[in-house]
Amino acid sequence: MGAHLDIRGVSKRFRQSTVLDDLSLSVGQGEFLSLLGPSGCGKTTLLRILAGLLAPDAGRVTLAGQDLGRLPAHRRNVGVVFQNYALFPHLTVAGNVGFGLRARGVARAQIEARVSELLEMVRLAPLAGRAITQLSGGQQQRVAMARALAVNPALILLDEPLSALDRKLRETMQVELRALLRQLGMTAIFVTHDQEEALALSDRIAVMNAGRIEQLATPEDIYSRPATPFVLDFVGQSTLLHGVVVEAAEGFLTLHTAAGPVRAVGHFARGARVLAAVRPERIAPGPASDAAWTGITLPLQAQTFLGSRRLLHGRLPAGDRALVEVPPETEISGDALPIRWRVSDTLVYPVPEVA
Amino acid sequence: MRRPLLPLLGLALAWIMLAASVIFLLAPLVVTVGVSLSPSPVFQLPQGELSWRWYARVGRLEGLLPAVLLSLQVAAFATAASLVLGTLAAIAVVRGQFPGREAIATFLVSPLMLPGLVIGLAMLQYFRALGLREALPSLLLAHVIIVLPYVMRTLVAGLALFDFALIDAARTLGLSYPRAVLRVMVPVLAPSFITGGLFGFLASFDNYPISIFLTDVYHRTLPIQLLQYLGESPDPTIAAVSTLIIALTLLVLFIGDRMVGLSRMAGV
Repeated sequence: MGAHLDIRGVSKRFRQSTVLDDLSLSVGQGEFLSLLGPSGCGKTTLLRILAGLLAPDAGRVTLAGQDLGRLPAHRRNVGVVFQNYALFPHLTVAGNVGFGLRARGVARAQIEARVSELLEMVRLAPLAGRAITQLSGGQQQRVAMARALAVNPALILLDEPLSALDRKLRETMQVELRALLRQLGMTAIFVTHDQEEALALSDRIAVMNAGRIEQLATPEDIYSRPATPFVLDFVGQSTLLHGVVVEAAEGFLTLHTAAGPVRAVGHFARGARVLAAVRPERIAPGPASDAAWTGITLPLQAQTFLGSRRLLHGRLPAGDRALVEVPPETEISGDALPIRWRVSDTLVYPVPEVA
Repeated sequence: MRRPLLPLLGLALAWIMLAASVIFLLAPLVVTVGVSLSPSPVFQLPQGELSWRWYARVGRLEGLLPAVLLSLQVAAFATAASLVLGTLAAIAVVRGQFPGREAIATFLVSPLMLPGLVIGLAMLQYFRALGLREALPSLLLAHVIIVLPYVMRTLVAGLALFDFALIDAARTLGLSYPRAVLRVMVPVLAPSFITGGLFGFLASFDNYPISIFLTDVYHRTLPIQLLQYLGESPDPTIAAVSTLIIALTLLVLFIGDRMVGLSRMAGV
């Protein structure tokens, strides 16, 4: 099965800086893919190129078998939900939702039917005649969704559509948005810098950095098997220990770190400088009991109570850090705590020679 | 508790000043309307009965109708031209990334701050130097300079608050760029267009100091024609004409209030 959306070798430069660097990406029909990255990583530029609001310097984009080429924005069947919604303030809710249909010259009766169908879908039917300025943030977000979906686009692009909402509402809207798009079988590209949002919503995540995709994988893989230190650092928290490989045999490594010896799975030469990382919830208090486990004795610096869990912070040399997640009722006493994790949970990355 | 005396005095003084200002601004208008309704052939407020005789004479004033038509034409042309040029210039100033944008914006609004006499004299010399001696094109060009600052000022303010993502949104919904501008930017900025256009139109309509340098015997704008009547035969017909202009202005302001709101018109 061919990809619904296919991006091949897309590049974009603004003056001296390369914003997109020979980027390729395929998205399947009905897939929800997130572009996750810090500001300036090129995710919004890619979105604007897909929408036809910006022309790439190189590369090609195909949607449902059609080469989008230089097709202008208004001839592409691509819906966009903008970051600040960009709702038309001079039109009512219904006027906004029906805008795309009117632009396409659809008959009035059909527009009315489609608008009420969509307002029903986003539960705004009673507000059809309201002015945009009379709506709350969450309602505006739903109008923006309905407006983009009204023309039944082949692809919907969402540019941080939830970032303007407060945390509680955002979580509700995430669930709603995901359910709506799944119900419609809509292919969606979701731009965000919020890793939790990306993990919660996506079928797959493309973590972007400096105009390239660092890793393209399912949320589970992105979190538990980050491909690069950038992904590791951008998505979730972790214990970080710099070290040197002192022993390497049959796919098992022993590293020398400031916190003590640590074992891992991987293939590195002896003497290689590496970065070892462990996700906080993989770590448990207690000494490493057998060969499947590895551990260190962690000098404790502080602890933070987060309601559903407790985070312990270790005191380590600059550049290293330790984070351990324990159940909230755990009583911690003393200055040091033996901790352990499975050898297979140690993530190991090469460290560039000159840092 | 007794309120301190000084703030009360201050408040009273402020109210007196306000009342005095309102009276000072309104009195000439009231006098003009009064004189126009007086039966007396000299400028005098009506004593007892009122008369429409001066209004009946308005229609018989020689050269009045051509002057009104010329002023309306010039003002309409200058406003239309300024709305197009001003919109384009304002977009460039607000959206552009070139150096000197602020300077250009200030320069385009600067005729508001220059004495009309200076502009009129400068225009006259400039047009002569270019070999332009026709009164009508000179007037039309000069009045674009009169109207443009009003349009620029309100549009730059309006565009600065305009979210250009709206145009992107309209494009992704199926409108080409020009149609998106027409269907989204124009209605959203309608208050700015109406405000700038109305004030500009009125400024052109009653301009004297610039027009005086550029008119000839065959092309007299209304203010110039009125002043000539005043010199030739000063009777209350002039007051009647002025009253009609006041009525027209009130009508325009009323329409503006309905469409935009007076506070918004005055605010920008």
